[in-house]
Formats: sequence, structure tokens, C-alpha cells
Amino acid sequence: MFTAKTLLRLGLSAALTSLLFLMGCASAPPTDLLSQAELAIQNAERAGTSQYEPELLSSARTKLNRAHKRVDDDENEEARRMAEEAIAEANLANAKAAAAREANQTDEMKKAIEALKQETSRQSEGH
Amino acid sequence: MRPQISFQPSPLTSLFLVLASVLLTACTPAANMSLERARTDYQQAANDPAVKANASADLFAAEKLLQQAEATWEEDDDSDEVDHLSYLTSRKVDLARATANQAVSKKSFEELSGQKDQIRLQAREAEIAKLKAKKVPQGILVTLGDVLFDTARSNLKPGSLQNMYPLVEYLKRHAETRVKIDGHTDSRGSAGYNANLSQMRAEAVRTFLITNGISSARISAQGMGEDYPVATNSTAAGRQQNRRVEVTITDAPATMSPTSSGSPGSGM
Repeated sequence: MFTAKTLLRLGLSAALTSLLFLMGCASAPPTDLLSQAELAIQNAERAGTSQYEPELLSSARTKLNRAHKRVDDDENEEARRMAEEAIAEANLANAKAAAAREANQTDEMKKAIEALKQETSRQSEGH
Repeated sequence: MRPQISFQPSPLTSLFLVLASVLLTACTPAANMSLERARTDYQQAANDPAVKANASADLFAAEKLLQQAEATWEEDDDSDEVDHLSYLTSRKVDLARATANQAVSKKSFEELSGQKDQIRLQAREAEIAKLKAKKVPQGILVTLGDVLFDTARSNLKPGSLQNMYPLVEYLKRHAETRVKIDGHTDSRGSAGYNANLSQMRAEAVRTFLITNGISSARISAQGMGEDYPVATNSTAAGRQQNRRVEVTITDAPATMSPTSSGSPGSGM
């Protein structure tokens, strides 16, 4: 039993709501990116990255937290940026840590070779 | 502030100039700091042979991001998004560098590892040469000649002891090895006598090693008698070669047991 007036009112309010929606949050919350960032950070933590790149890793964590806050405030664009940066930083931390580990191994190997050389030269001198 | 006549602009002109410059800065794509940095970062990495060779995928991803940043910068003036994309570009470049560093380290690790194996091998060869040892399937074999003993005697001649020290040294350096000592004689005298003599000579060497600090648990000694000659017994020179003590050094205890029943030093 809608009157023309109520219909009009309904239509108007619907239009207003959708307009508000379009203006306020041009996009949906970046749910996938948020979980990707969480995963990237957890992976990095599991790989012991915090030992080598604590600052990058905590920056990634901070940005992810900020991203969640932006979602709460309906600022989904900024939330997306924060999540993307968190992912980039977590991945970077991981790669840098891997490089550092590899460099350490190489240094260890150099030392081992030095020790071996000294040992063999000592052996050939003695007796 | 108007005593000077020359090119002093009027306040109105100054205001206009300021306004104009503000407008210009706002409208022309002059400089976005983070985009500038992203460009530089990318260019430097793209010119780095190590990055190009080892992190081309990351470099390509960085290039894509940079293009996005440039496009955003040209199309609209959403500086937040430009900053963001530039930041992502720079981090991707960092990632490419890290990937390249890791690959370079890995390569040099592998080279060094090969070098180490080589040094080990050389050291091992030198050691064996010093010991005058021979490689055999069970390990290495040191043959101590008959100079150790006087005829029909089983005590080590004092003058021969220096021949034994390289062996002691080797065994000390390789504490994981085990030693099997086999005494051999020529065919003069009875077989029983020779079995006994070879046993006593093997024991003498064993005792010497123990006295010099080698654990008795590592050493076994046995007399093989005259049954395993390495040369003819019909000449003096041949018989001299047959009078010997063979010391077989093995790496693991497990490799010793199958040979203990066999004929060590045979086939030579």
C-alpha cells in the first residue's frame, strides 16, 4: 500500500545512500590484501627474519595495523596502500634476511678454508 | 620600501608573481620527491650487472610499478597514490638487490666449497704420501719393512723407531680411525715358528703404538705367518720384501670386520 509519496521517499533515500556509499568508500575493504599481508609477515617471522631485519618487519606490522584501522574508518583506499606496503616490506625483510644468511655462510666458509690452509701448512712443516 | 627606482616591482606585481608561481607549481608535473627517488633507484639497479643477471624478475616487477607511478603522476594529481606507487617501486628495487646479493653470495659459497674440497683432497694426498701409504679398498696401507726387527727377533730395533713416528702422528690426528696390524714372514723356518714370530712382531708394533698414546681399543694385531708373500721366497731380496708388518688404517669400525677374516695385503 505504498503511496507515490512513500515510493518517492524510498527512492530518494536509496539514491542518497548509494551516493554516500560511492563518495565515502569508492572501493570495498581490501580483505584479500589484508590477509596476504598478515601471511607475508607471519612467514617472515617464522623464517627468523626478525633477527636480521627487525625494523622492516615491525614497520610492516605497524602498516598492517594501520590498514586495519583505516578499514574501520571506511578509508579503504588508504587501507589498501598500507596493506600493499606492509606486504612489500615483509617480503623485502625476508629477502634481505635470506641474503644475510647466505653472506654469513660464505664468510664461515672463508674462515674454514683459512683454518684448513693453516692446519695443512703446519702439518707439512712439522716433522 | 620604495626609495629605489630601478627594477623594484610594485607590490601588486610581486603579488601577481607569487600567485603565478604558486599556480605553476601546482599545475606542472615538476617534481615529486618519491617518484624522483623511485626513478633513480630503478635506474641504478637496472644498470647493475649483478642485479640484471640475478634478479631480472624483480627488476621487471619494479619497472612495472614505476610505469604505474609515472602514469598516475601524469594522469591525475593524486599525490598519495603516486607516493605510494613510488614507495612500492623503491622497495621492489631493494628486493631485487637483495635477491642479487643472495645469488652472488651463493655462487661464491659454492666456489669456496669446491676450493675447500680441493684443499682437503690435496692435504689428504700429502698426508698419505708422507706416510708412504698406499690406498687400498679398506683404507690406507702402510708397510713397515723388515728393518724394524733383527733376524728371528720380535723386539723393535731402537734405530728403526723414527720410521714409526709419522704413523703415530697420523693416528693421533685421525682419532676416528682404526688400525689393523698384520705381521708377515718369509718362508724360512717352520710355518708354526713363522706364525708365532709374525704374531709377536705385530704385537710389538701394537705395543709401540699404545705406548705412544694410541688407544688400545683402536688396534688389532695378528700374525699371518708365511702364507701371504708379496714377492718370491727364492731370492734374498724377495724374502726381505716378505718380512714385513702391514698396518691398515680404516675410517670406520664397520669396514674393518669383513676384512679381519680375509687375507689382508694379499694380491700384492
